[in-house]
Amino acid sequence: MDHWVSWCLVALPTLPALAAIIAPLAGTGRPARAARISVAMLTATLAIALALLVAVLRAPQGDVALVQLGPAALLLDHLAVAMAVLVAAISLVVHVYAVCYMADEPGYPRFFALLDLMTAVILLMVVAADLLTLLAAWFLIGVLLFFLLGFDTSRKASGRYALWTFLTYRVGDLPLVGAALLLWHGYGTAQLPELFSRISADPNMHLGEVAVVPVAAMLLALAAFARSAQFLLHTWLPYTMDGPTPVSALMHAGIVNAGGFLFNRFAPVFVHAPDALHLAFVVGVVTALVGSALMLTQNDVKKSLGYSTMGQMGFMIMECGLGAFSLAVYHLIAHGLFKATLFLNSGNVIGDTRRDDGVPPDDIYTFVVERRPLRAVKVPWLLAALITVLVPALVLGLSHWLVAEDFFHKQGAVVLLFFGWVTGAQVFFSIHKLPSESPWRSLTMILLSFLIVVVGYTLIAHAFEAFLYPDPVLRDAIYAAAGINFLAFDILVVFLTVVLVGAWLMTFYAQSLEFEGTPGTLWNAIYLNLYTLFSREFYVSDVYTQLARGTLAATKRVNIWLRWV
Amino acid sequence: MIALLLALILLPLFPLSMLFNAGLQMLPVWLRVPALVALPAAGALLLNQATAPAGQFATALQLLAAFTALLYAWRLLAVQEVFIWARLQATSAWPLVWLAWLHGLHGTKLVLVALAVTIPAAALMVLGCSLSRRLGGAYLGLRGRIGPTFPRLTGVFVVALLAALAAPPFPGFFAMFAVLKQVPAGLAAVVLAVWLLWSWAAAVLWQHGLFGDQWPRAAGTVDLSRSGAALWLVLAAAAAVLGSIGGWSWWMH
Repeated sequence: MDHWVSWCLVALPTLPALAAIIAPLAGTGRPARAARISVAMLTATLAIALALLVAVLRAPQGDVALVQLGPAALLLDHLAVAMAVLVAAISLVVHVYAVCYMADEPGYPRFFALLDLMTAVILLMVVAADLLTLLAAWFLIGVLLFFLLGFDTSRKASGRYALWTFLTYRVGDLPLVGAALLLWHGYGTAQLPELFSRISADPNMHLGEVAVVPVAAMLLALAAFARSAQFLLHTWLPYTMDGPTPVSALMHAGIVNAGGFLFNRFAPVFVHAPDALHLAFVVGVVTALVGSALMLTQNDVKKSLGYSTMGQMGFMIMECGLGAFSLAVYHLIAHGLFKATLFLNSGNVIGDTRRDDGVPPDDIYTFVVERRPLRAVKVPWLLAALITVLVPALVLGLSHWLVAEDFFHKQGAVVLLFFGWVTGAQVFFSIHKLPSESPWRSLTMILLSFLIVVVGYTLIAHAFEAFLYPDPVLRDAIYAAAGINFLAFDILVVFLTVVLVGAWLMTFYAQSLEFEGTPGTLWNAIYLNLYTLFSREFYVSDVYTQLARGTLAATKRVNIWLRWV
Repeated sequence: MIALLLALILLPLFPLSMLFNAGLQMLPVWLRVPALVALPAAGALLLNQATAPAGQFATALQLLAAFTALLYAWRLLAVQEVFIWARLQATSAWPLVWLAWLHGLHGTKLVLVALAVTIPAAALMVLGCSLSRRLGGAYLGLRGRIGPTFPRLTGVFVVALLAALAAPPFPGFFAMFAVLKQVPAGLAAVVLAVWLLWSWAAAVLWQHGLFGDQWPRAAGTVDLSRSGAALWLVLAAAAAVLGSIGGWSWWMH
C-alpha cells in the first residue's frame, strides 16, 4: 500500500490521544474550547478512517498494511478498517452530542479527555498487530470505562457499578493474557500475521501435554464472553446506566461488542478449534435467551435496554459459534448504530412523553366523535403466517436450483438464511400488530418487507463476508470448523424453527391463553415463582454481591488478626 | 546460601514479611520510602548472586512465595489507609520476584522487575504523606470524596494507583509479563490471580476516595501546587514511556 497509508494508520489512534492531552490543557478556564478541540480532532480521526477505507478498497485483494511503531506494530486489514470507521463515527457523534449535553457538568474538559482517550485506545485495539499492543489496549479499555462510568463522583452508586464493570473486565483480561502467553510460547512470535501463518503451517503444536491452539482458542472465547457480557459475566451491563448518556451510547455501541471483534481477529486460531466455537454457540444461545427474557420482565426502562444489549451480544457470539464471523461483525455494526441512536435519543423520548402521554384514544370517542371504525381490521393470521414459511422455502429452493445443487448441504448458507428468516419474521410480527383499515395493503407490505429482509440480509451478509474474508479458503474453513454432522445440524434447524414458531404463537396468544393460571393452583404458584426468578434476574448479581461481601468481611478479620502487618 | 538468607530478609516471604512490615511501620515516614525502594532492589541483587535451589526446597519456596503473594493481595481488599495499602501491595509483589528468579530470570531484568513493582508503592507512600497533612490521616472513605477539594492531588493519586495495579503502559505491566513468561502454567494462574486482586483492591480504594459526598476542606490546607502536580505527572509519563519502550522491545525480542 502507499506510504501515506502508514502515516494515516499511525495517526488514527494518535490523534485522539493527542486530543486527550491538548483539550484539557487548552480548556483551562474555558471549557468550551476543550470540547471544540476534541470534536475537531475526532472529525480528523474519522476522515483518516475513511481515507484508510478507500485505501483498503483500492488495494489488491488480501493486501495487508503493517506498520512498525517503535517496538509495537499496527495492522490495516478489512476487519481493522471496518471497525475503525464504526468506532470513529460513533465516537464523533457522541462527542458532538456531549458538547451540549454535558455543558453544565463539573469536569467538562476531563470528560472530553476521557472520551478521547477511550477512542484512542479502542482504535489502537482494532489496529493492533501484536499481542502485547492488543493486551495493553484491551486492559486500558476497562480502566478508562471505570472513570467514564464513574464520572458523576457525587453518587456512590456510580462508583459501585463502575467497580463491577472494571472487575468483570479484569476477569476477562486474564484469559486473554493466558492465551497470548500460550501462543507466544508455542509459536515463538507475538506479531499477529506471522503468528497466524505459523498456526496455519502447524496447527497441532503441543507444549508438553497441552495442545496450544484449542486451549488458546478456549481462553480467547472466555475473554470475549466477559467483554461482551455473556451469561454469568453479564451482571455489570444492566447496571451501568448511572454513567452519563454519551458514555452509555459509546459503551453499548463500541465497547461491549469487542467480543465479536476478538473472534474475528483470531479467526485463524478458531478455524482449528471447533470445540471453542461450539462452546460459543451454546453460551451465545443461553445469553440471547436469558438477556431477551430479562429485558421483557424488567420494569426499569434503562435496565431493560441493558438486557436488550446483552441479548444482542448473545446473538452476536452465537453467530460466531455458527461460523458466521462476518455476520457477527455486521451485527455489531448494526447494533452499535441503532443502540447509539436509542441512547442519544432518550432525552427526546422523555421530552415527547411530557408533551403527549401516549395513551391510546378511547374506543367510544373514536367511534362516536371521530366517526371511524371501532376496530381496525388485521391481515388474516394464517395467510400472513404462511408467508413466513413459504418465502424461505422459496429462497432455499431457488438457491438450490440457481446457485448450487449442494446448497442444502452448505451449513453456512443455511445459517445465513435462517438468520434472515428470523429477522424477517420479526418484521412481519411488527407490521402485523399494527392495526390497519386496509388489510391487503398491510399484506403487501408484509410480503415486500419480508422478502427484502430475507433476501437483503442474505445478500448483504454474503457481500460483507466477501469484504472481510476475501480468502474463500478461510471463509469455508471457518464454517467447516463450526460445522457439526448433517443429521445433528438438520435436527437443530428443525428444532429451533419449531421453538421459534411456538414462541411466536405463544406470544401472539399470550392474553387469551392465560398463562398465569387460576390463583391457588399449583401451576399459578410455579408461574409466580418463575416470574419472581426472572424479575430478580435469577439472583445472579445477589449471589455475586454476597460472595464479595463475604470475601471483604473475611479479609477484614484476617487483617485484624495479623495486626495489619 | 548466605546470599539467599539475606535475600529472604530483604525480599521477605511469609511469615518474615510480617516482621518486615512491622519494622517498616515503625520507621519515620521519611525513611520508609527509601527503605521500600532500596531493600527489595538489594534483595534482587543478592538473588542474582545466589544459586537457585533445586528439588523439594525449590518447591517449598515456590509454594511459600505463591501463598505470600496471594495472602497479601487478598488482604489489600479491606485496606483504606494508604500507607498500609502501599506496603501490603509491595509485600504481595515481592514474591513474584522470587517466582521469576526460581524459574530462571536473572541479572538486570530481575532488578528491574523488582523496582517496577516496588516504586509505585513508594510513590503511594509519598502521596500518603500529602494526604495525611491535608486530611489528618491517609485514610480514605471516612468523610467522602477528595476530588473536588484537592483535584490535583487526587489526579496524581489516581495515576500512582494505576501504576501500582500494573496497568499499561506503566513498567509494572511489563514486569508482570516478564514474570508470567518465566513461570509454569500453575504459577501463572497464581500471578494472574494476584494481578486481579490488585485491580480489585485499587478500584475499592478509588471507590472510597473518589465517590460520595464532598470531603470538607480543613482550614489552612491547600491542594498540591501546580508545579508539584506537573512534576509528578512528568515522572509518571517518563516511567510510562521508558516502561513502554523497554517492555515492548523486550517482548518483541
